[in-house]
Parts: sequence; structure tokens; C-alpha cells
Amino acid sequence: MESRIKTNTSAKTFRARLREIIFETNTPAGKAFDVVLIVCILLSVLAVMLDSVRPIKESWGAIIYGVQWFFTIIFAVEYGLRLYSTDRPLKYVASFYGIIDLLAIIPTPLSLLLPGAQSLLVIRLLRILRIFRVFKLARFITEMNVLFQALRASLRKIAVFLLVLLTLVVIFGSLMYVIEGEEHGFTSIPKSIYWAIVTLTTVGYGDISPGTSLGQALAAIVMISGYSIIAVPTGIFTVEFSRAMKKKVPACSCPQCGMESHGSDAAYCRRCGAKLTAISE
Amino acid sequence: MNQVLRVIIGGVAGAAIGFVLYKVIGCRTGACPLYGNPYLAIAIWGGVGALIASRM
Repeated sequence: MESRIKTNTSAKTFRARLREIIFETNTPAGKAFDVVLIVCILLSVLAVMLDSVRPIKESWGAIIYGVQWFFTIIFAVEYGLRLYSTDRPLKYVASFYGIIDLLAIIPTPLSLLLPGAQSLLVIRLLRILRIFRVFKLARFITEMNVLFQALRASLRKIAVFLLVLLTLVVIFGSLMYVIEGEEHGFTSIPKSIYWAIVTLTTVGYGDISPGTSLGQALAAIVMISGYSIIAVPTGIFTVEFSRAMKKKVPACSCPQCGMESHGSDAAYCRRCGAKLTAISE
Repeated sequence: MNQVLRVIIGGVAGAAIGFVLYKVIGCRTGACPLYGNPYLAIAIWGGVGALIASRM
């Protein structure tokens, strides 16, 4: 009975230690684990990228295949350890990072059944998002929030603009279908709308082009319209971005020791205890 | 809504979209990674659906 309790206690301690290493980044062991993991992620993504280059694949294909399996096994073990060490495994499985971790493993074994699944390994790139958590890039996260705030604020205006744009391309596309017809490649209204989008956005693939004078005149109008229209969302977003930047809470840095990244409501430095004064950026 | 349920619904909805896209768009050569194979299309879009649902 006593030995069973002892075994249970040591298992609990092991789980707690494992959880600390895997899920927390404050301890040296936790940070080291995450750094090793990020290196593995970067190397595995590099292997996937190299695998897509035909000459490299022809010469080093077998080695790259082995490397991909090696990292898949490492990630599978890591996934298993995360499931074992967490108190709420189901919550981890259903979380954003939990799904990414699983999706990073599945393509390799899936490729045994379905050829082509190997290319899906690029999803491992999403695991690099952990870098924000590991290195506590708080300042970057603040900047990212400003960016998202500006995007949210400009979303409605841009949506209205896109609606107008959509109406325009439908009108231009339909007109081109009527003017040019099938002999010049405008075989249907959706295809003509595709042409209008390609032209209005100033991309211009050149796979379809107008052949009649009227069509060319209309195409010129679409091109010039596109030139002026393309700048509108940029302007809307820039205004909202500068507005969000003005609203940004100034960073608190210690006047004595220079320690940064205090909370916006902090009154004293968390390193030396000196009174904080808010500074503007 | 429960997070697990949300992810399951997202995954199933994504898989259904993947199958519809395979049926509607398809792949002429059969070599496209996204629509070349129905099982692959279902798996990919199911994963994407679950991923989006987890962030909602």
C-alpha cells in the first residue's frame, strides 16, 4: 500500500516536472526545451522545402525522407508527452496549438497511404508561432495588437469598398463578354469577370485580351480605374493605423535601472523598486 | 459553445467543404495536392476547419 502511494507520488512529481519543461518557458529547462523544439521545427520545414526542389530531391531524396520521418517521430513523442503531462488533455487537443501539433505529425504517416500528402508538411511552419511565446516578444505582440486594431477599425470601410469593387468588376466583365464574345477568349461571364479582376488589380496575366476597338477602349478604362482604385484600401488602413498608434499606451521603463516591459498600471520597477514614470515612444 | 464540440463541428464542416470543392473544382491531371484526391481534400480542409474553429 505504502509503496503504491510512493509510486503514485513519484509519478505525479514526474508529470509536474514534465509539464513545467514542456508547457512553461520561465524555467531554464523549459526555455531550453522550446529552443530545441524551434530548431527542430525550422530544420523539418527546411527539409520539406528542399524536398520540393526536383534536383535536390533526385540526389538527396532518401536522406530527406529519413530526416522527415525522424522529425515526425520527435514531434509525435513530444505530442504524446504533452498529452501525458497536461491536466486537461482534451482541452490541449482542441486548442489552436494542439491542432497544429497534430497536423504537423499526420502528413508523414498519411503519405504511406496517400501519395502527395507529404507536401502538407509545410503546415509545420505554423508551429514557429510558438517563438512569440518562447522568447516573450511582448513588444512585438503590442505592435501586432496595434496592427490588428487598425485592421479591425478599417474592416467595415474596406468591406464597403470591396462591395463597390465587386459590382464594378461584374459590370465590366459582363460588358466585355457582350463586346468581345467567345472568339477573343471571353467564353463566359465568370471568365470575363476574372479578366476584369486581373486587369483592375493591375496584375495583367495576359491570358485573355480584348481584340475589338471598343473592347480595348473599355480595357483602357478598367486599367486606369484600377490604377486609382488600388490605393484606396491602403489609405483607409494607414489612417486607422496612425489613429491606433496614437492611442497606444506608452511603455513604462525604469528611470534608474532601465528595466522595460512593465505593465501599463505598474507604479514601481519590478527589478529595483524605483518609482516608474511613463515615457512616450 | 464547448471548445471540443466547436473544433469537431469546424473539422466536419471543413471536411464537407473539401469534398464539395473536390467534386466541383476537381483536378484535371490528378496531381494537384489539394484536389487531386478526395481523401486528401477532406483531410486538409477538415484540418483547416478545425484550426479556424479553435480560434473562434
